[in-house]
Amino acid sequence: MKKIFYITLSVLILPTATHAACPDGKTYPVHFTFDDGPHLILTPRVLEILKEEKVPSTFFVLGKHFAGGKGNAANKPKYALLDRMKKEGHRIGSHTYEHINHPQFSAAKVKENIMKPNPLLKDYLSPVLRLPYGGGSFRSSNPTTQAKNNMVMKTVKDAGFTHVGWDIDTNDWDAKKRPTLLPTMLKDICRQKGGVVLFHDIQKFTVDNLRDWIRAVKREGHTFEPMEHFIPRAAEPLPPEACEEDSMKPVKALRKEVDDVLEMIKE
Amino acid sequence: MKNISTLALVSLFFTSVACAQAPVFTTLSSSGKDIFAGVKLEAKGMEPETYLLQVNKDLTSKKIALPTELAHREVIALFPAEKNQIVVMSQRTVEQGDNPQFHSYNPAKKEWKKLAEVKCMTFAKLKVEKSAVTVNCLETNEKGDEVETQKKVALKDITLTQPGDISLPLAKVEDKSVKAELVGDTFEWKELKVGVDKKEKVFRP
Repeated sequence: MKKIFYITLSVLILPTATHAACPDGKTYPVHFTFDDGPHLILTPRVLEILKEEKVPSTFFVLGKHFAGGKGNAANKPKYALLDRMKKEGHRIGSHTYEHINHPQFSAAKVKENIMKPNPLLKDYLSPVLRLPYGGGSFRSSNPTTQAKNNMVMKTVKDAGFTHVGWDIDTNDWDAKKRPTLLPTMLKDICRQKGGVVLFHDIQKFTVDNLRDWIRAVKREGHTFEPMEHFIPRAAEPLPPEACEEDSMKPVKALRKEVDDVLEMIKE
Repeated sequence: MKNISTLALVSLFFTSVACAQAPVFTTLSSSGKDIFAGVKLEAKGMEPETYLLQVNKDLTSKKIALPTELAHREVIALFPAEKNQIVVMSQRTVEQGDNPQFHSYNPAKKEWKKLAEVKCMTFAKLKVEKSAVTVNCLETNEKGDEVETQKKVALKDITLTQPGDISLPLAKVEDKSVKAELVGDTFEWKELKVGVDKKEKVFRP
């Protein structure tokens, strides 16, 4: 009887144990994302690695890299990179125009920075946007900060975007955290049960190590999934309101909302 | 039925506890008189909250709240200064680093003052002088190469008391009879062990 019990137990445990990447014995889906690009030298290297390793990813590009749009001859190689991203099965999201911390700016500036890239990138963007520094996407215990965050998120929503944050922040930009990046990322994938992973394709360190990191994630048994696995809307086209100025609620109304809360706090 | 609802409540409680991440220490320094440590609480979906922990030689501790403009910035380095002041180097470290800022704190007056800002997103080495800090800044240029440049920041009327070279992260300091160490996985330090003479005490954020 005891023997049968142990045989049954081993049959139940063994298949999971082979891929026991995480302490809970499970493996998880992940999606790699790259912010701040494109970089003319580094992004093609990233694309090469992703293609060879068959890893569908998302690039959150900064609108300022496309100033002047297709009419600016200097942008030709950058648009060629966007074409390549699309062709190779990646998603392109907006990282807004300039890399600013939105809650620190006026509603008018926030709206401008969110809307400005859209006409330049309308043929490429999925309806997904990531705010620089995540600024505005967090909840805050401070009512003033929360009011500003609400204003930013409302602007993102009114522009037709779904905000995509991250589950795992690799801190690849941070020199002091680089030596522990891989073990921390693997630990975080288990803690967060997979999810969206944040990198930057403008960092040489990231590009130099990307292939090793991808292979380490695969070795743990985790799977690379496209963005729509996590955000189904990522597969949809960019809605017209992203490029239509009039569809946004008046800036004054947003400003008033913030001013009202500030006034309330002052009282 | 009552048991089921109790169970459900208990499981809900544990779920929410599991989602909240415990606060961690981010750096430390010793003036020989006091130990200061940066603390960060990062819960998913929330702005990170930060504060300082001050431990005296008699091994008592107190929290020091950061001013509003620093409350969501990570304390990345601390420099003891004359008149028992402490200089806090902070950076927003969510998604990407912003320009590190330097603030002084005068515990006697409970006064914060912004000293400077340095245009440098990433670095791991610092050179501390009496009234300036030089950051070994790493930047990836347009050619895709990573270049190191030194950026010096003057700290106005502040005089730092421990000049020297620092490699970050700083998790251990020893100064005369005072020893302090952050304990745990790197960047997830959950304990601060402080030893004064032969006495030792462990602090948690």
